[in-house]
Amino acid sequence: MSMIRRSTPNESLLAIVAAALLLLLAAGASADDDSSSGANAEAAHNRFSFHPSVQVTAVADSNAELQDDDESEGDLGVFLRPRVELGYQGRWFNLGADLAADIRRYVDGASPSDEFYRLSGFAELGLMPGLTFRLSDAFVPTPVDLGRPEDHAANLIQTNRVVADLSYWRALPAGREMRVSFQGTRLGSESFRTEIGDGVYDDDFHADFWEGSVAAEIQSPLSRGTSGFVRADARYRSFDDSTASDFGDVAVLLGIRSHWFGRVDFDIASGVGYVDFDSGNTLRLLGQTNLRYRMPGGATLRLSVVNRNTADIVGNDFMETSGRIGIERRFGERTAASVDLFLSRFDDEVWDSGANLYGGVEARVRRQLTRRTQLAFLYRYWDNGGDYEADDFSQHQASLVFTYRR
Amino acid sequence: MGPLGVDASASHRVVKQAEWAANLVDVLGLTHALPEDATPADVLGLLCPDRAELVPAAGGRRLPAGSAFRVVVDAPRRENPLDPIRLVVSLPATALYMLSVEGAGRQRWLVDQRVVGHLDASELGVAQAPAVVPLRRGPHELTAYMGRDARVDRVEVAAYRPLCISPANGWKPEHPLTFADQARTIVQALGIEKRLPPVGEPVLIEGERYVEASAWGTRTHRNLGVPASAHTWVTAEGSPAEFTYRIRLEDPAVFTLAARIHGSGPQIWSLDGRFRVTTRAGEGSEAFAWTDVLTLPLTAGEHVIRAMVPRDGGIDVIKLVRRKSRDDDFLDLIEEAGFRGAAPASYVTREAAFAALSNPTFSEHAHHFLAHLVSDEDPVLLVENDVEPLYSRPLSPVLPPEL
Repeated sequence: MSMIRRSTPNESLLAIVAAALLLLLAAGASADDDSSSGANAEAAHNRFSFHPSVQVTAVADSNAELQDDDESEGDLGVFLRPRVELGYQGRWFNLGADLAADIRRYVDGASPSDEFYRLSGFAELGLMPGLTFRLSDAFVPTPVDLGRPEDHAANLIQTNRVVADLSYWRALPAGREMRVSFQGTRLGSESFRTEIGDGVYDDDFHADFWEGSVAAEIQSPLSRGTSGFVRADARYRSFDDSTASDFGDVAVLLGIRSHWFGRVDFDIASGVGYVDFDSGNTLRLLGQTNLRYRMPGGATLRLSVVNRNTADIVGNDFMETSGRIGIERRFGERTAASVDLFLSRFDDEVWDSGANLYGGVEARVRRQLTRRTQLAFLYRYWDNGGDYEADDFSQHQASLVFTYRR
Repeated sequence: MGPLGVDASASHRVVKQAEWAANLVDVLGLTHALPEDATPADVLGLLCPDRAELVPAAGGRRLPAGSAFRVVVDAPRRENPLDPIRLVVSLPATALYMLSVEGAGRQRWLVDQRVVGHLDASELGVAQAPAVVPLRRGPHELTAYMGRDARVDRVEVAAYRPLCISPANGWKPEHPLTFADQARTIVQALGIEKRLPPVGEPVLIEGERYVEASAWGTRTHRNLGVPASAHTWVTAEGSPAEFTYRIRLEDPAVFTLAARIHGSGPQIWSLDGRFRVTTRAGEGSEAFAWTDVLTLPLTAGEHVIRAMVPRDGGIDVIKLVRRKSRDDDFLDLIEEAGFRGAAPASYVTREAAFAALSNPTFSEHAHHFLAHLVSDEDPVLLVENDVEPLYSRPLSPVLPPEL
């Protein structure tokens, strides 16, 4: 379990640069439009998009600090999330920026008021047919502990992630396709306090790492609406502060995807993964399946099950088995209600502390008020238990969310 | 022409217009209307009969404009007024059709034994069915049940032309689908063209400035409590009347035809004799009310507007609102509705096409597509605008997140 000590973000942001570049391009595009009445052929290929939005959330939280039930304190909060999405899209390149602040204020102060930033940008360039280079930067909050809510301030730290990706896609005979991608990642985090050994804590831990990966996939049509695929992944991650957490992994998967538009979407994949950690090597069975089925009555059933290797931000290795089942019902075109149940098991094989277990239920009602405004009511119950008792807690959370987006 | 299908998963293959059209027909629930030997013309006829008639028919024959999607028959005489009417019509093309009847009284109509609804020709002497029916080319049986005082003189089965789901330059089945094409067709399928931003001053025509009126049509200064524009409007006195207006447009664009009308009865409006809809001012409307009649692309040049008004109904003003209709404007609309946008000229991959067709809001709308066609409401659609986490489980090392 990690204690988060917030530090001032000081990352230089490609996202900001991308946003500034986009605004300049937009200004140029506007000038073109004025002068040529849209007749410029290049203008027909390029496009600037701009979507400002704001989200206001009132939240009632039974356990605002995710403490053990004996120490839990409820609190009321108001969250404000202004956001701007910018895009400049050309035929052979795309630029995008997504700039948002996440300001969280609690009434009683049981939970520290906080601010997060979600600043991301990307540039994607088509170098030649099938060959694409993409550079992205995301300065976003990231969850620290698996098994705790991934959107809760008490479990988030600000990270900056830069990813460079070179992908090659090619059509093969008989409807087959192949794709190969190479990816390099640099993640930097603000400092936080975390347990790095049995009872050993680091007060100034940075989860900074380098990662390199390669993936290759071949897919082939099997029947109408269904294709099969073989995918191989390999990667290596190296941490700056904790070389003991460095790991490499290789996985091979065989799967099927099937899509029947608006009715059934289904995929299933299975394979083996080999993880090479400092603490030992492991060969594991992997699998994942997703199903979305629109039932005759209009409700949609969603089911997903996964069994996979997972590492948290500190580099701890887990075997994760998760399941989620939900149903959504539409009431006309502007209202939807859904209920989801989820259950996860994280088996920590490094410290042999046993399996962490968490689960809960989420209910959600959304209504589109106007073209641009939406109101949602969310309720979530989260319970964390299992063999690892240090992070056990339960929480009820109800939120009323108003969104304006144009 | 086959559906997007055999390898429609996370595929980077470029989608052809024919594939996209076939998939729209599938998602919109119109596949059952396709004949077993379906041709591209059948698919495109369901999406846009107004343009599909230009596609060469089987054998290379061109279907004559204006007649390919319309059949008119005189009703047979009945021995007993309570006997149902049965007709068999042979439709020359596959399309979405609307039934219109000249006659009188309330009638219940079925096409191929499926109920299309009740018509009431009492007020205008003619009525359109309250439903649009997808029908394949070939013979179809029409059946009507009616009361003692109802009658049928003529029956027309005509393609529902106000619907035209089509790229800007019409369907070109073997051409790749661009994001501009995709955006236009999604907007048309959702029926949200009215959201395109207006541009310039609307063209206004005073109701009393008609070029032709039938026998019972007359100008009036009658005060309804709310002043009429220029203190004059037109009404049908004693019996239904038809008013004809002409208008010249300088440039082609998408226009909304709106009218400030009076009366709670149905009014049948048509544009160039091809686009015909029934509209109402609304129940309890004692004065004037603005009603959106049609939103559709119009060519430059002269256009003829006709309005058939029931007794005591009226027209004060007609308005043509020009709307921005560049590719960007359509892309902006679908992005606002929660779909993905891109450069207008860039090609749509199967992955992107699948994402658009699987949008839950689109699926829901498509499920009720035919019902929406005869509704003049601008639908409010639930937007999937949740802020997606950029990296929902960023540190899972093995399985790709897109699985």
